[in-house]
Amino acid sequence: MTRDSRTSLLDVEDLTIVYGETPVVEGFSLRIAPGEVVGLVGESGSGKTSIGLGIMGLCPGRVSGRALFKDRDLQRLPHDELRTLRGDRLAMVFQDVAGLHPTYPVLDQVAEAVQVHHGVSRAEARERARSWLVSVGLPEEKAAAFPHQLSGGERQRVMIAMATVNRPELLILDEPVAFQDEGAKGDLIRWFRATFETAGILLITHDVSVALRMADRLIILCGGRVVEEGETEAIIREPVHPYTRALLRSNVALNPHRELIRIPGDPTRINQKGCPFQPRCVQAVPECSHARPFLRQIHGRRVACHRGGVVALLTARSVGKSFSLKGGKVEALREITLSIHSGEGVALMGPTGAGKSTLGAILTRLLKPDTGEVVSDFDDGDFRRRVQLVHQHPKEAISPHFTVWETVEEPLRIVKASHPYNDRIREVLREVGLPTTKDFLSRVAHTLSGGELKRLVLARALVLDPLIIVADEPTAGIDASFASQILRLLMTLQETRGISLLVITHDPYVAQKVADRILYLEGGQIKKITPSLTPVTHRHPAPLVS
Amino acid sequence: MSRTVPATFTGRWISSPALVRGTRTLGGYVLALGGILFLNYVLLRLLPGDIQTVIGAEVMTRAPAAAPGSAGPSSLAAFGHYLLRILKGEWGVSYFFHRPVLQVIFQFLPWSLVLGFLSLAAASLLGIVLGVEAAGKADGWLDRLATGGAVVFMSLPGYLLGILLLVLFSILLPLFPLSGGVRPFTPAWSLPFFLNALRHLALPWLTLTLLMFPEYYLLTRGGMDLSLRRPFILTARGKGLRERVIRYRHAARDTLIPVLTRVGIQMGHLVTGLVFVEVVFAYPGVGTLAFESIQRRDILLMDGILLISAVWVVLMNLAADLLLRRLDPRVKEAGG
Amino acid sequence: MSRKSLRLSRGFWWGAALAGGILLLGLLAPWLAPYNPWNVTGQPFEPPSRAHLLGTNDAGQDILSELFYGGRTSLTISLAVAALSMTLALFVGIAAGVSPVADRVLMRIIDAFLSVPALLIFLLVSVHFSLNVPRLIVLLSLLFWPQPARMIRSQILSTRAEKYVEAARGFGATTGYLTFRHFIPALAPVLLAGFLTRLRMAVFIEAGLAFLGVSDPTVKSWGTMLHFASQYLYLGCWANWILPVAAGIFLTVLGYTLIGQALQGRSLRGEA
Ligand SMILES: Nc1ncnc2c1ncn2[C@@H]1O[C@H](COP(=O)(O)OP(=O)(O)O)[C@@H](O)[C@H]1O
Ligand code: SF4
Ligand SMILES: [Mg+2]
Repeated sequence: MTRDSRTSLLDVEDLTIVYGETPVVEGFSLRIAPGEVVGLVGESGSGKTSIGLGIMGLCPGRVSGRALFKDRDLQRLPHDELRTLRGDRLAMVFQDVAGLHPTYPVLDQVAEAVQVHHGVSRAEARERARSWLVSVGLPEEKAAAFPHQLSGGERQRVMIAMATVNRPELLILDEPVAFQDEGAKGDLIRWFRATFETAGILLITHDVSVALRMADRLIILCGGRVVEEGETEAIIREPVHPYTRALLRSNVALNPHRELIRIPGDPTRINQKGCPFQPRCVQAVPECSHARPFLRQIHGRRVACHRGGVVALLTARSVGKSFSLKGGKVEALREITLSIHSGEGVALMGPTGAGKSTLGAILTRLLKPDTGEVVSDFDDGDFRRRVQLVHQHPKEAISPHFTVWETVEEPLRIVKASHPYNDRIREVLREVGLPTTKDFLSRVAHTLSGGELKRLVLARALVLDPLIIVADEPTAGIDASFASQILRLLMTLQETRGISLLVITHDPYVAQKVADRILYLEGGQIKKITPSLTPVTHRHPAPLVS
Repeated sequence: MSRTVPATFTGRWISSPALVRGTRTLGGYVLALGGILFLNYVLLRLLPGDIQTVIGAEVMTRAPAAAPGSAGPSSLAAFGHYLLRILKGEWGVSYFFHRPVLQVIFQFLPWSLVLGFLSLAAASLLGIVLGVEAAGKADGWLDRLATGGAVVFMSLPGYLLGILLLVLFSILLPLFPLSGGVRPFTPAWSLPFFLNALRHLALPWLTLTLLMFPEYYLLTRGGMDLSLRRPFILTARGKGLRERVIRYRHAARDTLIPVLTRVGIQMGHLVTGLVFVEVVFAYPGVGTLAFESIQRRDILLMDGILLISAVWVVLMNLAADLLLRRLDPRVKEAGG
Repeated sequence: MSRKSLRLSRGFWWGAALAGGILLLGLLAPWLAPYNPWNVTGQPFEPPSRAHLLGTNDAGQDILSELFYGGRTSLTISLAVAALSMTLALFVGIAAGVSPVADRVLMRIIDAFLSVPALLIFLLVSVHFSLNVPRLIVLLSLLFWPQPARMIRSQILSTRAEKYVEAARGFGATTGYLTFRHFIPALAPVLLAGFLTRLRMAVFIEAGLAFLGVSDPTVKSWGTMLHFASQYLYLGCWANWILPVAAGIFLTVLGYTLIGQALQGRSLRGEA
């Protein structure tokens, strides 16, 4: 028997599911205690449904491993015993609302679930089914309807009623509110929590915002492997695994203001040998492609990542800086501690004179701090390539004598990058949306328009393949349409290249659009940090049923 | 999965919304019946002259106003009179039996209906049970056996199968009588009468059952194969139902709708669909009667049989439709 | 899955080999048959011998030669009927599937045709005309088209309901375009199944009518052979007379059935 199996209701160990030759779930383990709600979250196709079906003994693939339900091994239980558990002590709400029989009234289908497990009369079973249907929110007069007469949401309620009518001890919910509108979602979630207070629930969903409202713990699944596991609160507040963060960032409900960032790459490309997320990970190292990362304890949760989760590329520790003026010393920055993580968007806000630009200069090592230090994830020799500053006023940052070509070429020359430059220069120009004709390349940079110049400095910053771009007031003083172009460009770079952005701005709306975190600087100090991840909360007056 | 299913080789739709939508209306039946009556009327009037004179004389004596063969403006009126007579049950007199046509037909009809019902019931039951059990177990012994049997019996026409069974069970192994419905001069409605009739029934019944079961088997199995893959099967398993209940109550329910409709339709062809088998076994049913009437040129009788069978077909189609409406709630709304 | 598709395609090849082989035998009948089947070349009811491999019939004609020539007739009739009735069905089915007005009329006509007891019509017609081969072909085709026409119509209706057709409509597709680009291609399995079924039914009913003695008895066909043979069932000559004919009919239709089953298996698995 496993460790303290008495307290766990479901104990899944090393579950592996193979369809044909493809393993779609590997080494999955899970424990659910009575009264606990565990959320299983991942993109579609990550194997969530297969796990649910695997536990129920209904998966069409080859399933190995163990699933103990109250110390009974479901995989090895005689078929008839498993059958009597199913739909009674152990039940699953299936994802597909087409799962209702088209030619029986829904009431009878729910009643059937009562009748198989309890030797009650047909009438009695129907009576129970009817009141249960009403309690999950199906209008009473619709109980006698056939499935095709119900809406998707109503059918889903019938599916829920069918699985829950016998009050199972373990409930597997596969996308249980996918067909509900926002208000109904909240009602159903509350209903589940209230009705199954003492039962164990495995909530399967691709929608983090649903898991957030219901689950105590989250398990994040990527390509059939668990990549992160921990308390819901903690994971939402600070996702550690790059995949988790990507999931959160692509969720509309979690990002009412911030620009959505899709998870780059093709979700069906899964590395079967190394980290499943490797083909799409922006911080992958060679090890990731051939060695499988195992779950390790990090930040009070378990994460499977060779790099221990999202890495901090740049960290400032207790940085202080003063300037001496005639009247004495001005303390521009005091005790600043912050990190910029790989692929992250950080906005630095504050009133003029708060020290934003000074901090930007220190982080890019253009200015030395008086106290504290700035450490980076890369070699010191590489620093200049990896961290690029994009100046607020492009004209000032470009030599009046340089042609377009020379402007972009300069960084390559300086770091003595290997030839040929031609292709790379043209590529970055295309990336920022500038022409690459001979004519244009040989123009003197200062003759370009303001918009073109902004793009040009961005191109210059990109030519060395930076990992961090510090953009100083990228939208100050330009019109809205132009500002939106520049912001979109930055976001696209973040999405396609996985670049980390530090945007220095005084505009709160810009900050909300581009940043995962917003730092407020005031009087040389960080006053507060707000994550942009602000889940929309829904308050709907009418509870489902009293 | 979409409900559109390719046509089966047996030439039916397993179940498609289009078919469901295409349910015929009562008006359609009336129209069809009218068409048949008209066809019947015209065919009767197309008879070669010599025969027409024979019947003509007959008809003339019974209903002089509806003299057949009279062309021109009175044709329509003649057709009206014809309809009226048909409705009144005056179908003429059999030239061979010298008795009213209806009377003769009703003497032969029960034999055909007993044989037809018994074999249709056996064939559909056998086909359905085999289909439900064999579905989803491709390469199982039952599937191989049933599919093999179905393919073989589908490839044999009724008269041939009848002859082969006759040779086998009446000539090589004389277990069953060679022909007829009951030994002559057996007192009617006595126990020996029934036993003897059953002995005579055995071979034609076996022939028809073997002949008809493949269609039901293939239709059921094809439908079940699809049905078992539909999402409600997973739901049924999730409820903890027994495999048997899942197969018969859930998977088969949907599958059986077209199968039962098919039974209804085939019921319609019972009256004349048995001609070949009845003739082979010289069984005293309507099929044999029809065949012999033709040989005797007993046209009015022939005509009566044609009408009776057409009415029967329409009635059975109607019954099949009503059944379909009862069984499939989706049709109730779709049908007109 | 690979095992299953192998099994099905094996059935298909067996079927194709059977159907093709018998077709070939029918085509080559004049060269393969040892005698002219109309000539009296022996005593009546001769048992099989070196001269007459399958013996002779009641008229002293060579049964083997009759078998070859009879197959020719059966195959000709069935192929012609299947082709003709399916062509008719295709036109009617498409008209009904494409035009709602035509649909109403045509469906009523189809219903009427389907409630006609076909066999009785044959019996009746045979009173008026002798059923020679061309007449038989026309009559059979006239009676065989309604069922496939209905299937074709159903298929078109369900194709019409597909989202991709709706999309094509959205681009302004005309009925003609839809018919040729979407409806007809989707008909392939229906047409094939219909054709095979009609072949099978035609072989059965052609032989059946001849067996009943309704069609022209001077034509050599498997049906007329059965007709005469079954009158002498008690003589014990069924082994060399009826069985070969039975085998001919059975193997021919078995070929069609196997092909049909293989194709149906494919389309059930969504491969066709
Ligand atoms: N019955 C099946 N046969 C083969 N592959 C399957 C089957 N069911 C699911 N898969 C595959 O397994 C993977 C996981 O599917 P699933 O468990 O449904 O994921 P999720 O529920 O997370 O969307 C997908 O790549 C899917 O295509
Ligand atoms: S860093 Fe490596 S192990 Fe971590 S998520 Fe990226 S690819 Fe996977
Ligand atoms: Mg799923």
